[in-house]
Amino acid sequence: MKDDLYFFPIIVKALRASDKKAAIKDAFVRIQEMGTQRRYRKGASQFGRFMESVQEQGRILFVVECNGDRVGTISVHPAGLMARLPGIRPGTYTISLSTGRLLWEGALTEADLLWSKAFPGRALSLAADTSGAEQPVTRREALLGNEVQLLVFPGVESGEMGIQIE
Amino acid sequence: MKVVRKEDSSLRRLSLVALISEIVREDNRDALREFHERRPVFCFRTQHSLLLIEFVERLRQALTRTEDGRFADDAYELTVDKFSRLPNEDAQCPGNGPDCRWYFRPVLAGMEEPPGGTASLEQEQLAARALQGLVWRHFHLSLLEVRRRGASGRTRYVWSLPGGSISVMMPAGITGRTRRTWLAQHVNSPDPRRPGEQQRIQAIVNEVTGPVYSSFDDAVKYEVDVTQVHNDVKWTDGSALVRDLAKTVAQEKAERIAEQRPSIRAMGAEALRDMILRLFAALTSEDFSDGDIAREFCIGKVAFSRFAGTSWHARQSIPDLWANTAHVLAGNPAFTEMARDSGVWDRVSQVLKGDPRPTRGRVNR
Repeated sequence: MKDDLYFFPIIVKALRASDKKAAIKDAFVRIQEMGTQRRYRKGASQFGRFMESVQEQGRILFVVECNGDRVGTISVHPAGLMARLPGIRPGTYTISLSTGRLLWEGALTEADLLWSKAFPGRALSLAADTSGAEQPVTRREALLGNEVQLLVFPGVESGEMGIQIE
Repeated sequence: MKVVRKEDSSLRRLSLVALISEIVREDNRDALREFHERRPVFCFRTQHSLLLIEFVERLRQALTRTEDGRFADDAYELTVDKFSRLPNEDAQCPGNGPDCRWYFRPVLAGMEEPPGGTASLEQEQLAARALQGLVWRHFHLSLLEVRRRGASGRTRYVWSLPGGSISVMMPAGITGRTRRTWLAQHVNSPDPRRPGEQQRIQAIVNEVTGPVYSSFDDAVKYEVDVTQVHNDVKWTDGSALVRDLAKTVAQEKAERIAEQRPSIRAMGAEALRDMILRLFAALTSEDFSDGDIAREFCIGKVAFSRFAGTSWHARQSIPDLWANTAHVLAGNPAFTEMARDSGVWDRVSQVLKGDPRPTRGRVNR
């Protein structure tokens, strides 16, 4: 086995198994364990770079338009982490996949995007200006049969749009 | 300010599979327009989000820089026609020009949309990949078609040799005395008295300059069968599973040979596919080196290293072949799901922070 790419034959074999998920999981364990041996140290490092490439190439791009003009893109990894787009101001928005498919269309108002309108009289949450997980949302939309979640977070002068793949 | 037109909204919401189904099964011209104007599903080298016409234009530009450059415009027109023309309802002559329904139809094979129009992200990505391969393939077939039509672009040349003369068809682009020089450079030990010598020399000319097919069907026989990709990437319970990684990667690379570096492009699709399959097989062997494979397939060490080197330089991006393999696996939900569940993504960031030593037990069992 070629030491620097010792992980490829293991992955290739796992993909041929009848129970792929179990085989792939076992393959990762084996790759990890072999990587602890001095002989496969460089290979383990290359496996890390390879998986980084898998991770990057697996990202899904969502295109955000406001009143017909593109205002930004949100690149989301399917692993479940949320990605956000700040600077969202009131308007009619669309969210599409980079392949052009429209997923959502709707109006976002000041009540959705500005903390003072969304929660009048309530002190601004510190999380409203950060990406804290506890930040209150004003809108939550399930897209693609719940495969994708769209969340709207209010801010001081503008809001944020968050997208997460379930 | 542009305004989203309400009447477009229902088509815009359709998945690629549903949209193509509208074109193929319902002759829906609005769906065809939606596809051409709003679905940038193609990529070319580092350029993403290209519409079909932009993608085919990139292929045309790439072709102009090759020996087949004179066919580029016609191959472009023919390919765009294949994916743009719906027969007119009033047409009395069905055989008048391409019918895009036939060209789009393979995308639907094995990819029926789930009820309720909820085709997943995964299905959308797979459909986009299928379209990319399909259009590339038809551009290549269009090239063969226009090359065949333009066979008159070849003229006969009588090569005078000490033992007699041999008549060969040569590209019109090679003219006058350069033909003799070209033949002398490419043909070893020509002998007009040797049986089958004319065929041998013609085969060399065809191999180097591109063959002349007697018919379109003959041409197709020589082509990479990209439909094989559909056989390797199949739907099982809604999940695309790559069954044979080596074969899938080899097929994708062969399909997109026009996008490869010149030294790899020069190998030809068939040899490239063979080399990738050979390399994957060799990875299980103790005693092979990059140099062995490079020599076997007659490419330079540096070119091989950039394309498929097995020892990666820390400051360079990973070689093309392995990046392409990563791309294939990125589209495999079982693989990415298990990478997430096993803690591999976390491990990746740790390795990249500079600690190359894997820690035992970090993978979740």
